[in-house]
Amino acid sequence: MIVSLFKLAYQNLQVKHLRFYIILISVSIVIAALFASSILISGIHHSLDKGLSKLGADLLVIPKDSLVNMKSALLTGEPSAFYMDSAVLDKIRALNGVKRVSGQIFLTSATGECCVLGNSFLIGFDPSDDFTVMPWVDKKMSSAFPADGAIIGAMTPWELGDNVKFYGIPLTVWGKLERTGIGLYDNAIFFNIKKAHEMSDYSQADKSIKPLAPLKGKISGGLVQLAVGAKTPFITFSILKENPDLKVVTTGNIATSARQTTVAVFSGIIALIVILVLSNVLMINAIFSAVVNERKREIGIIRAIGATRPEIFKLIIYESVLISVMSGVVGMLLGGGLLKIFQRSIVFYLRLLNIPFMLPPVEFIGLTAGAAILVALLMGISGSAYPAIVAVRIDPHETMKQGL
Amino acid sequence: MSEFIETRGLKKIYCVGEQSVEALKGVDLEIAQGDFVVFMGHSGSGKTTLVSTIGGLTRPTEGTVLIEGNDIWKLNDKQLSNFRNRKIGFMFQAFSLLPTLNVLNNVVMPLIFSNASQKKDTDRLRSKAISLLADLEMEKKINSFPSELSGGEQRRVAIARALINDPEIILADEPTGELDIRTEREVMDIFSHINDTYQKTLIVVSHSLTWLEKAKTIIVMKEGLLFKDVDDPVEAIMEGVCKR
Repeated sequence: MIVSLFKLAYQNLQVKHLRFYIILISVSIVIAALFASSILISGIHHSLDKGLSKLGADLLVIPKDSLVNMKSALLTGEPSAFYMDSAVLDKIRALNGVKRVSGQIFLTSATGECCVLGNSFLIGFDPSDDFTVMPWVDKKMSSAFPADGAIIGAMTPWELGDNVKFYGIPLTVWGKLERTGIGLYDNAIFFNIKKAHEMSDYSQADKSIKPLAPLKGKISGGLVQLAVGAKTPFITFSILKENPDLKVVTTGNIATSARQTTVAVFSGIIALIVILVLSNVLMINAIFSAVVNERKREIGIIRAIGATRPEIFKLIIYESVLISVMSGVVGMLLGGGLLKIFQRSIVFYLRLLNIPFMLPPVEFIGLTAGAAILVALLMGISGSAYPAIVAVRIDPHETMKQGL
Repeated sequence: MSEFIETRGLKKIYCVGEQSVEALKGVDLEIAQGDFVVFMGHSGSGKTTLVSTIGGLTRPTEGTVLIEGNDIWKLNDKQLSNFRNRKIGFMFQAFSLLPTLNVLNNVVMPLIFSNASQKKDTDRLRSKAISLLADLEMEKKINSFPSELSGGEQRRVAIARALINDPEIILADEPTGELDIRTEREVMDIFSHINDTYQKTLIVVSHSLTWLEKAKTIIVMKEGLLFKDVDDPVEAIMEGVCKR
């Protein structure tokens, strides 16, 4: 094959192996950190967006002192139980601007109960007014939700058709939700609210297990959907005015809170990456300056035989493009690999911080990979631009003076 | 022989720190097409600067360089690069080959900077390069790298590279520097062959008196000026210019 400017750039890279590897390793590490952080942050946002939109509620109404528990329950699926008077829901329904209200009862499974692994998050919902689980049932299932059916989160240990029993009440796994990253959906088991009451009654009667709280007339929280045009602050004020013992939170607030925690956790990492990017640009600049200085004679020869100034510029930039794209690909694979290896640990750590996570869609990961390579490319180009300008200014006559 | 290269009032002043050095002090020169010119003179006499200015490598401070009647220093960078690429074959002293490319790619390298249509015909260019290398008895080394070649072989490859674009002028600065006498003579024979066979205009800068046997024109430079009207070639090296 006849040599090209690009091939010449490629051949030049192979001369100084050590420098090549220094740039490759250093830029790869930065890109790996950048890629992994981007996937993590976008995974958190994706999880919040997907999970909270699935919730379908504009407001959550819960007992005043249970906000922390509610956030844990919602975001990470931490089993939780708190209750308030269910009559509150009727008052809220009556408010102008409220479209729908649905109540849910949260239970935690009894520790050591037969056939139940660990501490399960049990949620009773009312199929007649629910708008968080039932839309999925209507969309995905061809039959009606059975009275003894259970719908399980994607991260629960059961499969369709499994028989499970909580507080003596048998349920059959009838549906399995797709993964959202939001704990409430991924780790919980949903069933008819009547079964929750039966479980409570059973637990009161069976002296061998720790009894549940009496649930008659009780509810853990209400999900409120507002009518089009309704003002959230106004409805919130109206609810609290009549029910001062309640807490009203918007799903947006919960998302914002989780996002703020995310920013706090990742701001240090992002700052470090920015510093690393800048220091790598300087390093590339220093290495390419040395390369240009060493190759003055060679550049002079190339100029003499007909290369224009832009072609000399391109030659240097091609070298940086090649090495930075290679570094970008290696860094992206490295970051992806590390994320895969440590995903469980990372998710566990994030859950401790009430931060949900699920991998973003493949298309987004692809775009992020492309962006990571682009960043590597920009690092290479910005680092080598000044040395390339210096190379352009090299007087071919200097070559002559050194013995053309 | 018709006039081909012409310089008028050529001056070149280098600034070294706060001092200025006048390397050329108003050189008027005419070189005919097909001539074989050797520039001689002491180090610092301005011969390399003069050749570099004629070759479009160093912009003169004053004066003009006319090639076929065109002032090359009125060309922009692209035009001047194209001129160097098409009109001139440069031959450098030692280490003038690119170490990362093999012999064949070193020879065809000027084609990278040639016009697009020429670049597309890679088979023809490859054949041409191999043919040139064969003429110079280097066809068995086309895949070798410069570090694997002797000094004489490197010069041959450099000659092939200088000829690949079929230029009208070959500029060579100390093409036989650092070579032993036998290899030096081989290179000189090649130059004579190029001049005789291809009718190329050869301009050589050298300190070696052996070139006196080969050159058609010897121009001696001293302190940035040409010496003129001296008949004895050896004396001319010290004092002036001699035409055979």
